[in-house]
Amino acid sequence: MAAIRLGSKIKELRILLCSQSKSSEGARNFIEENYVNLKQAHPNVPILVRECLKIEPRIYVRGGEFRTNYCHSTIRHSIDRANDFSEQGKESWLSIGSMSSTDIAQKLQKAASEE
Amino acid sequence: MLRLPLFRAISRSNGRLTSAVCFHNSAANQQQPQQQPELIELFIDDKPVQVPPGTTVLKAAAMVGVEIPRFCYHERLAIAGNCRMCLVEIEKQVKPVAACAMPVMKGWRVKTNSALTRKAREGVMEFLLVNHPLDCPICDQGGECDLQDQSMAFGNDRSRFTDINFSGKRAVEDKDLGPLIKTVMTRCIHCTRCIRFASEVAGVDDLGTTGRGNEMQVGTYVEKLFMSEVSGNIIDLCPVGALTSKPYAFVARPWENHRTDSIDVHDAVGSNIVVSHRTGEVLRILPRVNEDVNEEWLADKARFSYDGLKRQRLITPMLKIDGKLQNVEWEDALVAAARALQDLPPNKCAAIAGCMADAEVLVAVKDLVNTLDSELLTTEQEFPKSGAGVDLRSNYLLNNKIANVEHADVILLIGTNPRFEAPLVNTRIRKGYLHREQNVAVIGPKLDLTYDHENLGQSPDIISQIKSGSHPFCEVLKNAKKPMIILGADVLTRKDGDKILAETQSLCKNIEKTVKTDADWKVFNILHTNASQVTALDVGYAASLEEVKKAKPSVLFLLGADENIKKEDFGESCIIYVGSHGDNGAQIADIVLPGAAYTEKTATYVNMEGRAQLTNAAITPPGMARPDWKIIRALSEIAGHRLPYDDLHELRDRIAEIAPHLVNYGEVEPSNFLKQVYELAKTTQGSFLPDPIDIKQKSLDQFFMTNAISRASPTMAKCVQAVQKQKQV
Repeated sequence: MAAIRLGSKIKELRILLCSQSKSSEGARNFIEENYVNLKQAHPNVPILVRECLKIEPRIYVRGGEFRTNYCHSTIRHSIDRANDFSEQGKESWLSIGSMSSTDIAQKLQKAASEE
Repeated sequence: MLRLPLFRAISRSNGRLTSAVCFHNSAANQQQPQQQPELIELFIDDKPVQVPPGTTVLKAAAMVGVEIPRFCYHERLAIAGNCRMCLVEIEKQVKPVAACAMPVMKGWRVKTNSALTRKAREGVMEFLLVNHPLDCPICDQGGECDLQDQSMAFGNDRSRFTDINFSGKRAVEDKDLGPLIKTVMTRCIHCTRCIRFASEVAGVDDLGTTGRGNEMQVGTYVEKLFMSEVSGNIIDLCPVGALTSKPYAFVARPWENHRTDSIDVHDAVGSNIVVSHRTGEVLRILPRVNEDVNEEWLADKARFSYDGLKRQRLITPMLKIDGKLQNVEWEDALVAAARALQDLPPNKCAAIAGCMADAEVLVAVKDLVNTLDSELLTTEQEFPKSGAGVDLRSNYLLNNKIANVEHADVILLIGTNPRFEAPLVNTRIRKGYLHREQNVAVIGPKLDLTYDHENLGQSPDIISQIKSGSHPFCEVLKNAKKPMIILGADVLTRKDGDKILAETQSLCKNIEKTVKTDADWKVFNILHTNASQVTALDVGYAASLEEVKKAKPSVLFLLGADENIKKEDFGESCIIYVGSHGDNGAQIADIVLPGAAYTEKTATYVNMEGRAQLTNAAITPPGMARPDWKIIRALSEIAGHRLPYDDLHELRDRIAEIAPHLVNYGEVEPSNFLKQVYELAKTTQGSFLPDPIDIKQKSLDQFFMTNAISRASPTMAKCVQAVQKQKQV
């Protein structure tokens, strides 16, 4: 699989996941497979991996945008402050619950490379 | 009180300690899972109870909810059995026995409320009171005194004390134990809890008894300061008013105080505390039990530096006018700050987090700085950016958790002095040393850690030598079953900090390979010194101090940052200081925005093991000061970059978007992905500097004043003075 490239506009990447649940399995694999390469290619972009039990896994990017706000779970979160920031601080997120590692990589690549 | 050292001496001469030797300590009982011994059945007040052999009568009684009165017994200290208050009757035994020291036997019928038991208690009580002064109305222990309570509950209802010869009661000269502990030794009932605490937990074997019988006295024999960083705990331990708090003397009665549960922020342990307050003033700080963090102890800095909350406070916003900071209204200060934030080019706004910044303000400032298209967020105590940096939490946490420190069998401390940087982690190590024959080694300067340890030297090269296997200490590590490497956060601020971090990580990787530890046993640990550090790293304060200096920011936020920051480094910046105390940071600021101290706000702090905990507002901030995050929120609106949260709940929702474990209070989120951390550590380049590894806090006088609150505290100043004087003796 081709390595993920982050565009120059990407300021920060956050992967929130659960360290145990099934729905986060893809996210965990994604980190196992891609994190080291991604970090080595972009040593100056923080790629925060934050675990918390029983949460819906998500990816946040600051500087990029997920076109389709894909939401796997049937319950939409009422919490969504990331989009409320003005221009530069705007974050976009994607729920990656039950996605496979390759799917996540594709979605991220798409969001991160858009100008 | 001699039980432990003696026990240690015996077990040493017999080689390795085996669990066959049973001693009555709650912590010790947990570590004997090899074979489940048969349970013994006995009856406490006719209630049947099954306990493992070696359990004391007192503990067995506690299991069925029968509380036996006691003075000398304390579950975290060795058993003395000298107060005799816990005497109980056992059927078919001639004499009553001391429940705290007597191991149970099969089929015993214990009577905790029989005529004989009651008579024994009344007798003991009478003897204690014969020589106890009748000064309860002027005694600081009044209202929380075990002697008072138990004489009401278990004492006789009339007195036989008549003193027909007017000879008076026994009187004992007061001892001077320093500026923290007030002694009224006439009140002492010789329970020896303070002596046992000093020799077992604090590791300062200064207290003892002299004389016998009626002449017995507790004290230091020669007049001497009680030189310990956890000395305040003997105040809590003392069941009577013999040892009380000097700064709290004659201040208040316990029943008229309000109590607010909170978290201590003077070190990164995150000790649980209770703030006692009345009429908008913090009167004292006491520990709160949390077995996973501070057990029931508290360090002296956390306990006694509260008077610093009233001094050197910033109570109005200030602006630098004509080169002088002058008091202004909030509106003027915020408008001036907002003006500085207008039309900034990218990466021209920076923030440096101080040692007591909370998660709320850290997130608000991060959002504001990011909105201004800047990434310059850092902490005053730098964390290396190389390798995994702040990405993976296992890169910067005390991964193995504080409670597990005592279970380790080999501990290697690199560039840290836990005795002063985290006193309650040090008491855990001492516990492991006393009860589990822990081996401790230090890379760093010569230290007094209160337990025997091997000093391997001061050069950072030793880490590499141990890694490659050429150092003699490797043998010890190889034979370990539960090794821990604890790296001090201060050494990471060196120029070669990234190399030290990477080298230590690869050492840990090697150890994990050779030792075959359990999956959830983490070898690699970092001991932080600042309460805010883990929080800041968790929310992504990822830049380095050097980067911030180089970027020459137009606006620099100092979130209570007082250390390592010089005006010369930020000559062109407009410095905005948000914090509670007028310390170094406020001195160099152009705009000062007064914030709240930890007792005045409901705020999130994450301790060194990654446990998010909440402080509660006990009192209101003084003057015009406000909770820090509200200041940033107000400023963002005036500056035209409104942050999308209006109250604490909305802000916490935002925190959960950045790091969801920060709002999962009280829990430790296990940190994973150590493999990736180790992998990235390999890529770190560079070499060690020749300078030896040094530690900031080497002796007790350096412990007391380390942050803005403790520097403002007169009590802490007295402690420093007293320790320096004692050193000259």
